[in-house]
Amino acid sequence: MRLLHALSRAGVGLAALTLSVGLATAQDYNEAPMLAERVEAGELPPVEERLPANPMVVEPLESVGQYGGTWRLVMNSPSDISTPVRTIGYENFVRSVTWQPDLEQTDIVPDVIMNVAEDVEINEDGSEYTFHLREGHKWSDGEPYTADDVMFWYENVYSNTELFPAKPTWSVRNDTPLVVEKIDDTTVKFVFGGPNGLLLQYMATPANDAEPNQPFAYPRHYLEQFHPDFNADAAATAQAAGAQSWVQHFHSMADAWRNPDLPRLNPWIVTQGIGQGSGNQLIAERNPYYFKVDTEGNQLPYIDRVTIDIISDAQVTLLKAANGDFDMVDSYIGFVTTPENRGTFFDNQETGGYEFYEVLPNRANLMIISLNMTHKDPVLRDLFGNKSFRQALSTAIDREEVIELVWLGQGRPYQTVERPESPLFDEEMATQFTEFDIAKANEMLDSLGLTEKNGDGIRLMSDGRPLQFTIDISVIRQPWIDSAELIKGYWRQIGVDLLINTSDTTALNQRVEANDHDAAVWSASGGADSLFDPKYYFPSSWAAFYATTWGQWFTNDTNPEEPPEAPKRQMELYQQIFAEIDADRRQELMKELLAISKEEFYTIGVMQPTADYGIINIALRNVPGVLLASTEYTHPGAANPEQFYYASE
Amino acid sequence: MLAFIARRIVYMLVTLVAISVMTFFIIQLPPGDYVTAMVAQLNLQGTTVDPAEMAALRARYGLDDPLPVQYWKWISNIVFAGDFGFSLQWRRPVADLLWNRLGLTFVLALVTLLFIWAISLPIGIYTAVRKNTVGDYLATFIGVIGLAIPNFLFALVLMYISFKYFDTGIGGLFSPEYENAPWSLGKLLDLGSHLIIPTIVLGTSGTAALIRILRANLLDELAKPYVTTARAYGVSERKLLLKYPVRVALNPFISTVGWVLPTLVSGATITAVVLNLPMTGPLLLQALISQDMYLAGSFIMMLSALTVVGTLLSDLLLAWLDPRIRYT
Repeated sequence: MRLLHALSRAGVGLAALTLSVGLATAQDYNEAPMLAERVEAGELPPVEERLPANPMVVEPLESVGQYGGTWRLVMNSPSDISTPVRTIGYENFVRSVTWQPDLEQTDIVPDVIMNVAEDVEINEDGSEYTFHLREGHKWSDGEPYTADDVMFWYENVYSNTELFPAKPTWSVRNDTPLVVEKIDDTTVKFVFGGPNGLLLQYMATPANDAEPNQPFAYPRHYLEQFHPDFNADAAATAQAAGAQSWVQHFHSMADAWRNPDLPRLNPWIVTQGIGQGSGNQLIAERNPYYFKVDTEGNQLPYIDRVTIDIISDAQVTLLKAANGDFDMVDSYIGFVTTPENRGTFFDNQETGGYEFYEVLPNRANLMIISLNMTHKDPVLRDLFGNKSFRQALSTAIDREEVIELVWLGQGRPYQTVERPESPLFDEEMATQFTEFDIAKANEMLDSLGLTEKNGDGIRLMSDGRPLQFTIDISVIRQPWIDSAELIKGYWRQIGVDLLINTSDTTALNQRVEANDHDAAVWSASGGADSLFDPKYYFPSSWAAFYATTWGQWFTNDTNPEEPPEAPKRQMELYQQIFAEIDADRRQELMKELLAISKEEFYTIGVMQPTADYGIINIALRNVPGVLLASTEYTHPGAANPEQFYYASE
Repeated sequence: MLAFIARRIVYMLVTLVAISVMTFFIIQLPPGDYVTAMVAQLNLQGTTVDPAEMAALRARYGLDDPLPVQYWKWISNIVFAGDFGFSLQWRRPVADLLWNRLGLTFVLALVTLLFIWAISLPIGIYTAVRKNTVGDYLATFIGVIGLAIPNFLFALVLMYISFKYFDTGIGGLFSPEYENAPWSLGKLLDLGSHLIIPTIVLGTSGTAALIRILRANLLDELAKPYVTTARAYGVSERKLLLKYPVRVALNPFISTVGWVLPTLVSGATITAVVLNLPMTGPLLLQALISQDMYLAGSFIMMLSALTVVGTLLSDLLLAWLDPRIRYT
């Protein structure tokens, strides 16, 4: 009971647990015909021996499916690792529940359920997590997955400073890195330097990295041959394979998306990696040792194969998607379902054999204007640092018009704020200073003493220079540039002269990192993302374009500058949230943090997108009609792609 | 002859060294490096990378070494070990990536070259012999249009037509069912049907240029006294035409062979991107965008080597074809 209590307090849903308990009774398992053939031929052991003693039971969304078919997807570049991770590689220790519109959310992020780990015990203060692995769980090559693999990750990968010189933030508490102990073959204990209340939530985020550094990603029996702790010739092997060092070679060999030989725990295992073959496609086939079954004991996944085309030209992706060449395309897979392409997709629905679904993009704001409050020029710094000035500029933006003209009406005129679906939504925060009123904005600027104007009607700053500044915009999103042109027009009416400078993202980032910018535009995600990457609620890194140097202070980066009281208080609160294991208390702390953001009015938000859309093969089943998506909430992985299936004609 | 070749090879080496230095440094010119480009990409998806992690990556890839050191590491590996380095973006040895794509690139280059010759040779001769007739004007008109339409636009239009009216797959060189199948007659035919659009797109502009050159050269030759003399001797019109003036006018066909390969490997980039062809051009473009300097650098080196070797070969061919050219 202690365990259950601890779990529910930590926000871990119990559905998965109760399901695995119900499975304790022995039953007959079924498998895909293609695997049955291989069992028949003696190439594979029978399904009972391949599954763990307690397979995880996944309840199909609508109905028990049938085996077969190929799931055809698309990614936009060889480094777009997050597409395979989100679709076919979401097998962490724990996972997020499938979000449903009627699901009540108790925490800041959607609830977490057990996955690769069968269950977890958490001590009173949340500093020790004991994970139980599944008895008899196997890697995709049939070798057992045990505590030894976790220990290999901990001792030889995570703790190896050559492989990972920096420790990931989730694993460090009070400056002490994680310690992992092996209790027995299926039990490991994670001990932290202090309370780590959001560990499970963090572990449920997608491992969006070619070098995952996670306890479920390093099969010891395969990888030890590339590691000098186990193989004295590792460096020579690496050289012979064309790598520059054993570190590089080890990382390539441990890269599930490029090395087909690496054993994995995923539902589909890569057989042709990124850059192999003609280099145009990633292919994955079902994992015969996958540890999940449906409610009738059929081993998952239902779908036999997955192909992910690598296409860098968006027009080609669009044309192929409209032709029905992909089974699932949206703003997170393929990235071509923009508002302006909706018409094309609509016209080709019949011939392409797809239909539409809704994606809640979890964007807090798609266009945020940041004025650099830590500017090197003292006059501009004073001006941008003045809250009334920012409020005046915000009041002088006709958001309705911008949204109508640039985003074809697909947005709400909000500041940077959580989405209305979230328990953290604050309507007042969303709508403050969004009422378009040129007269009022002029009044506000007048009251700041900016009353002198030059011959062109541009206000003069305290040192007599005209009030003119440059906004840096990355060329990757055309709507940003179009909106900025409109905003330039509105601000001209209040005597502010805006210059627009478009550049490549890398150049923009360099300018910002060096604190050389006046103002810049970017977007922010909400929900789980605002918890793990809250840079638009307080300066948590250099990428907080409104206060680069304060963010650099928080992360011990270059050019740090000590921030004032309010952001410092937020930084404290943020640390507390991660230490807090009580979900309700965490939410209160987050609300407190957001209240300060609201009060401080760091940035000027222009629009929050309403809903994105996606297109899906009409024969694909068990996919929710509305999907939640964000960087940290795994889409579509959290909807259990292993139980998607194709209805027969 | 041998001295000529030896001298040319020395020049070639000097050229290649100069090119290698230039490319390496030009690739480094844009702001940032591979790590900043990668971080920019991650930022777009909403992920922020720890400064410590960025520093670690830079150290691992050797990006914080001074430029001359980076250059020496790169070039010495190529020269002494035949190792073209490691692509940061693909995380694979550059050589693997290149060889995978070069094969199909050469096939397409060859097919396109044959297409250009097959079309432009007869048309060029026809337009010269039947100068200022309706046929000449028509061929010239079509040729100029082919030259004037930007390749990528032409590719998009052809793709749209095939999408709208024919039930063929769009882009790529293989249908999905053959993509990873072993070679068979079916796969060969499938490749053939997918090669039609790229060949037409890449071929049209080259065809137009060659038609014009051949026509002009041939017109010059036809007016020369030896033609009249031969005709007076009663040599048949067809034999007369093919044996002498056409042979002389063929020079441009041969002298351009050397450029065809590099143009197709790099110049067809936009077309290959639009048509989603598994060729080398898009790979180079991607490498440049993501500042994957070893891939991009090795690539450009390879192209330069091809151009230089191709030029030498075409010079030798030309000398063989036209004895009037001396080895000087």
